[in-house]
Amino acid sequence: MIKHSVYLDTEKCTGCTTCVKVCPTEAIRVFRSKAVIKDDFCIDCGRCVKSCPHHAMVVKADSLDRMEDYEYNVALVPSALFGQFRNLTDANIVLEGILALGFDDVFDVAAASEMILDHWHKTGFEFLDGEKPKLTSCCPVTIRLIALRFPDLIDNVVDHISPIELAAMVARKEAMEKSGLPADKIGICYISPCPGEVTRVKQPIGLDEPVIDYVVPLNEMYLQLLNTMKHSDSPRQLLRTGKTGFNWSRSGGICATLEEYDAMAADGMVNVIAILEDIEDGKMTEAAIVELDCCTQSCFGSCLCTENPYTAKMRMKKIVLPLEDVRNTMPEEFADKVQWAKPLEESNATRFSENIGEALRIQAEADRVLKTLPSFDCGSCGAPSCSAFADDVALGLAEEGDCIYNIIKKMRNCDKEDELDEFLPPPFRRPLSE
Amino acid sequence: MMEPVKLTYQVDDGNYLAAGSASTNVKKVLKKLGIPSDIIRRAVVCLYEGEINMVIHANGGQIDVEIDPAAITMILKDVGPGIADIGKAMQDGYSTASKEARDLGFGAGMGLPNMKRNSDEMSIDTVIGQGTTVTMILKMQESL
Repeated sequence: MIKHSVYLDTEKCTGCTTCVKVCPTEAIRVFRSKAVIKDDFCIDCGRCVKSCPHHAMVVKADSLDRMEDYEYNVALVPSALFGQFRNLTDANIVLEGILALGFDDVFDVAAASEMILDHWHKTGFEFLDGEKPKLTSCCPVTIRLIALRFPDLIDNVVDHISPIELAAMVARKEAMEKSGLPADKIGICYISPCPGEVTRVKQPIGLDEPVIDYVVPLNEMYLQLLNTMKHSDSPRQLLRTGKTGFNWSRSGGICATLEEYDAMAADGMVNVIAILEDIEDGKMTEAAIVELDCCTQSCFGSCLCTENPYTAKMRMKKIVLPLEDVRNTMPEEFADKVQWAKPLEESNATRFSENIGEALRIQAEADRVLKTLPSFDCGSCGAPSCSAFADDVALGLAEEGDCIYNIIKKMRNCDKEDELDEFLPPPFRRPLSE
Repeated sequence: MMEPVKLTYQVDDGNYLAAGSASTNVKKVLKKLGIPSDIIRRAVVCLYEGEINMVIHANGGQIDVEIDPAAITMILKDVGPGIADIGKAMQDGYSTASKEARDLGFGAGMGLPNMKRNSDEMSIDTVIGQGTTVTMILKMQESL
């Protein structure tokens, strides 16, 4: 079972059902005035974190104190961090600020993206062979979504480590050489804009062991950096990436670098799900590779970013403009680490039962219950929709009487629909007949 | 013996945008039932092609899907013009679709052949001027 980074602060939760409605996997129910997250359905996308009006959905990650556990610390810096600061024209100022917090070195993840791109070129894009279209594996939430809702597409996922993981491997080796310390004395820290990435750091996909030691939320790092970042006309050259690495981090950035291939990009949860449905139905046969980011504007729209993604994107233009097209190349010794060590596992959480007869019985019961419900999807029962509630009842997780409509019907001892109208809130009343 | 799960969908005439909603819904149910993915994929193709046919040729109609542990049975019934020459209709690339439908990317003449290829059994019952009923069966035994 996955241990999630998104969790509920029960003190703050009022049971308002906002999160229930926005969850793309219908993982949340409200029970006794508190939200409950179903662990096997959650993909750590952070929609609930972003939408909760009471800030009760929280992301659990590490604090900067973890630095003290290691003798030499390296921060892996996501491109999204640079877009959070007003008037920033030189990414090195941010990196200087991170060093001033006590880190011994920094490594911008965009540089590792360039390395992966170089690796793809050197291997003749052979990963594009096989099931088409290939789906990029940079967004961890997309991968979890596929494992949960589109298991048939698992073979389409590019089975390569993420640029973050490559950055961690290269950074650790460099740190060992520079410091002369053994691997376990080096602390590799990722600054994460995304709860899904926090979860992937702790429980990697495709890797046997974690390669990152601790992970700090981007919004917390942002606050710290406001204290240590200093205006400077001549910061040290700490940034490794060029234009290409930064451009790759934008939504559609991977596609843009694969000019000679039919490459398509989609961002935002609704769009990603629609594309996955089409691919699953065999309706999308043109594309060789599809780049999917569950957040709007990719990681710039993740819930731990402080700035809206469009402003951040505008700011990135200024930062990228003066850069050379450096194109970091893949260090040879890491070329054989790109391939996943183990396959992505399918989740069977959405299945009613392992036994098809039992599953059919549950589906028939859910159909029966659904026909008695108002189809109004009010959320009063604590489920996101009448159909989700019907499934819950059929699975024995809720009772028919939990529906407000059924409660009023029973309370008024009223079987005739037109007599019931006067006891119902306006949305439930039947339309006036002409 | 257990009652099969029955699903019913109405297909609207000429509504190209809504075509595909029955197959999307059936897919959702089949996934919850844990039906093997290759069967789901074939069922979706059969239904989607059938829905499109009902929209572009037959003024809409009704789709009934029955699922039991042995098979998925899909019955697509319309009251359209009927199929004049089933032999021709079953040929790859043969189509009587309107220009409007072709402009939208439909009417490539692959519908019925595709449905035949993806189902284990298919029968067509058609009367000119009265309508067509296509029955497709996907068997589950081999996979269970």
